[in-house]
Amino acid sequence: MSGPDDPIRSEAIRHLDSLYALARWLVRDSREAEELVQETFLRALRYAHTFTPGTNLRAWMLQIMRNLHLTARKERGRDHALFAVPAGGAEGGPGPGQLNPIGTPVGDEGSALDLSAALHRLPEEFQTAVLLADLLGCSMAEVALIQGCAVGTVKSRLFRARGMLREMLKDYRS
Amino acid sequence: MSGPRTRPECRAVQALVPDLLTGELEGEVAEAVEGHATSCPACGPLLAAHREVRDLVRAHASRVAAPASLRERVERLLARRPSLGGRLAGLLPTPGRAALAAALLTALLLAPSLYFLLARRAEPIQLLTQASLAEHSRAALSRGWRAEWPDRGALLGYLRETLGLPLERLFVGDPDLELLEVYPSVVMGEKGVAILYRDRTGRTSTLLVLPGRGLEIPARNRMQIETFRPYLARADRHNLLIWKQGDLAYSLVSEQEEAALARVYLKIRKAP
Repeated sequence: MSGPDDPIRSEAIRHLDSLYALARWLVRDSREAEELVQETFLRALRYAHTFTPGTNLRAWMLQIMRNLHLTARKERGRDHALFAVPAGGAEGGPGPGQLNPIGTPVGDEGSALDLSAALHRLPEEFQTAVLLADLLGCSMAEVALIQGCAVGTVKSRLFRARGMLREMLKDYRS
Repeated sequence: MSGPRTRPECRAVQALVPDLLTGELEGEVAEAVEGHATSCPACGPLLAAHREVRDLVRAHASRVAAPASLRERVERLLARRPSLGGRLAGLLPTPGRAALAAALLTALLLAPSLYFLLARRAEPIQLLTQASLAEHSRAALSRGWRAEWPDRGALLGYLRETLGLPLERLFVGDPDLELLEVYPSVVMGEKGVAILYRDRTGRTSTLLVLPGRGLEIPARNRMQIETFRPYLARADRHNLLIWKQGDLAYSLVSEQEEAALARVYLKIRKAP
């Protein structure tokens, strides 16, 4: 007997590695990442009726996982983003082009930054855009679908995120 | 921040840098952007820097393959129909969902208003579809049901063969707690059996038995009853005790106080 979750049951496993790879970056703890991935599959099955067969299943599942992550993070009050980057920058908070000097990040003076730390210092929407595009090889249209924004916004996020990473990784790259 | 002056065409080129780096520019457009960057003191370093960061992320932000144990769990999840616990949990928010799912297992059966209150997260048409299927299944099961069973063995046989419930123990009542009714039930697609008891004061308790595989009962909120520790929950002015025996999940619900409910629990738990 076929059901609305058939495409999920038959095809979703192909995206397990992508989901896990992103989860590891989002939550950093392996056990938490596994729980996030498993919950993503549960949600996908539960809301299978909202998925249109033939469309992008990977992007749909990544979107579910990101939403789960954001919800959990909000509930736990774990938004530790050190850089608040409102559009166009803001007084009192570093915006693009106003980054803290490498090696003296806010609250972490003198410590060396590696790529992981640098990525986690990005605002969530910037971090996720970079990981989706560069780690998972998602197209910008996919990133836009996952992040629920326009492709133009994704371009802007990628552009600004890479600029910020470049600043933060000056020492690392050298 | 000062730097090389940008020419009017630089804006257009820089806007295309993300497209170029995600490989979404092809042919002449990609060549034009690269060509401009090669000769432009503003765009050249910028493109090189962004490309360098992209390559760094690609090289060092290594993709970690999912552990084999996770793959097995997910494959099992995809292969089987969702468990009752999972489906109940699915109606609830992520944190504490297992506990809430367990707590509401029986309440959902016995308090339709609560069911629909919680189930608002799902599509109403889906709920109606599921409820209709469940009712149809329950009605179909009832066709083989007898109002009076000749003996406990025949009843257990029916539960085992028709409902697939490997129930080996069944409390059939005593002078203090009368077995009023037994009837098949279908909850979220799972076949189960509901058993209604009544004590000397007229207060009733309902025991629901159904497949428990996949239902995780949290370690907290346990009630110590002699050597047993069932899960205790309160919902909609009812007390509930939930536990597992083998592959079966049991849920006992009543408006009785905890101590009285514990006495009923012991009779059921210790039934021969």
